[in-house]
Amino acid sequence: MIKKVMISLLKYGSLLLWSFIIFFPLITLFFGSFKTYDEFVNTAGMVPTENFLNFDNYIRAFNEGKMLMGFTNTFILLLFGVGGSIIIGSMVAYIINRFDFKFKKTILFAYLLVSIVPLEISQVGTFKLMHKLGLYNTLLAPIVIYIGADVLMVYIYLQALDKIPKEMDKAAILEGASYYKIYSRVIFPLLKPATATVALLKMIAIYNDFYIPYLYMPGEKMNTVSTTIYRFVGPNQTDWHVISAAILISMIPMLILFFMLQKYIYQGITAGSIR
Amino acid sequence: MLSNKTKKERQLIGCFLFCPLLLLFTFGIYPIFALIEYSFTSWNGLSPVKTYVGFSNYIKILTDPVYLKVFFNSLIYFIAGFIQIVIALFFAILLSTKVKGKNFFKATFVFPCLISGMAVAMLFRLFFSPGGSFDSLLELIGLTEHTRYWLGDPRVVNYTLGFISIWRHTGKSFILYFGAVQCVPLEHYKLAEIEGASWWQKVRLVILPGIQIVLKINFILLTIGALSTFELPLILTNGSNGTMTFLLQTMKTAFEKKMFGLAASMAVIVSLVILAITAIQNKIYKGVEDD
Repeated sequence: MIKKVMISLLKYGSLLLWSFIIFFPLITLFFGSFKTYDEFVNTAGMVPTENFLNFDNYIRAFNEGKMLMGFTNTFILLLFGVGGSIIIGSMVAYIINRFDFKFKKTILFAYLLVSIVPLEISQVGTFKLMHKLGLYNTLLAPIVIYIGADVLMVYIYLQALDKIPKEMDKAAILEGASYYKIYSRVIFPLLKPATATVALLKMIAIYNDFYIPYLYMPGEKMNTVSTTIYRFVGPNQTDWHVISAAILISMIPMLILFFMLQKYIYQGITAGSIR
Repeated sequence: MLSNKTKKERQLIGCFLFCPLLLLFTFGIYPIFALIEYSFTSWNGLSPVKTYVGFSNYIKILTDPVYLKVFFNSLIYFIAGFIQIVIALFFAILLSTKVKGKNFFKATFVFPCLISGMAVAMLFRLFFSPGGSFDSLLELIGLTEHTRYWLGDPRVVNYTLGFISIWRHTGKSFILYFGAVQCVPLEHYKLAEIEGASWWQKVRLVILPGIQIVLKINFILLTIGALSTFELPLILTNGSNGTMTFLLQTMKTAFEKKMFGLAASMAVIVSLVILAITAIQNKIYKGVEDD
């Protein structure tokens, strides 16, 4: 009996301890985001604010930090980055998985090579190219990197296609369907779970990306959610109560996504790690 | 008939691959070759002429301790990765047993890996600031004399960064292991139970062998992650006070010091190390397929 109690004490004790470690910094951030400047400076972080209805910091962060622009730019990157990844990933995987042709091995090797070199580090080689192509300081620079140099989606689609029997294609051919029809009416709909995984992983990666936009879009009107916060912190070092609100605002979309699609996110993370 | 079919096939292949490959070769492959080319020059990123200097960049990096000692910091992130594995594995096994509030704990553990590196960095900049929440927590439990400048003191700053890395990434490993533990066949547990195995024996003899592959893959991913850490130190310390990592050093050498040649050879070196690790990974995959 005592042993049983000890075990469950240990069990729940450790679970609660790790939960505390995760939540504690977030909770102090949450408290801080509602405090006034004086309250923030004079009370400890773990002391709850006196007024949880004080949204001044949020309004200030949103307006002074120009967060609407950050959200707009990030949204555009997401739209084209995720959409492009789905189209490109599924097309390439369909061709590689279903057809034999001359340079197939070379192409697979190229994808492998690109996936080995860390995306950040190859920017040393990409940087000048962006200037030459006139993409520097445009939204296109991150987009082409997200769909051209991040190749995770091809691997996820290849895995999924392996599980779709080739008889499907043959049956469709016998019914007189063209390859384009097979791709768009048979294969792509069957790839839905993979598409969900790709969309989720890319969404998280692009939304959370900091370095690529930071490197290629220094312009004042080109901030994304991540770079907005970075550049907002610079001149406002003392206004941590407002910065807290800005950080929390930036987390809201991912929070919503997480609560809506928890199960798929668990699957997605697993699929994204094992190639 | 046959030729008609192959013609159509070719059309399709060309049509479907043209744009993706154009993007891949322009923004994926070309930069890699550019890196290799730059690495043999003393190019500053601006001048129209690139002077070839042979292997001197490589020799400089591999012989000057200034460039190599930052690899020691990778060691800290590597150890952090190891701790991450232990914590994640512990909770993955624990949550596979009967636990109240399982979904809540699962969600809590995974949540941090959805927060952007920027938000995490800023959150902890506040948390670990002098007089911040962490210091007041120490005060509360009577450890006031141990407070220090967590993100500035060269003696502790790397451990602080290592902790933040664990905080952020453990969820990813956890969910991987959790899925893998669910896949261990039930009969194996039953068999162990019949044989009278203890809890620890069950973990050691049933669960660990069952999730071996996932563990190995994760281990390699973490090694690569440790080598390519740079976002946290960039935002939190900008590499000062001994927090420089090899990747951060590479980026600064290129984009701040404008020494593209030297930076490119650093990039090549770290890529080769990662390539070697990936080769080991492939070997493991092959070993699994053979079984």
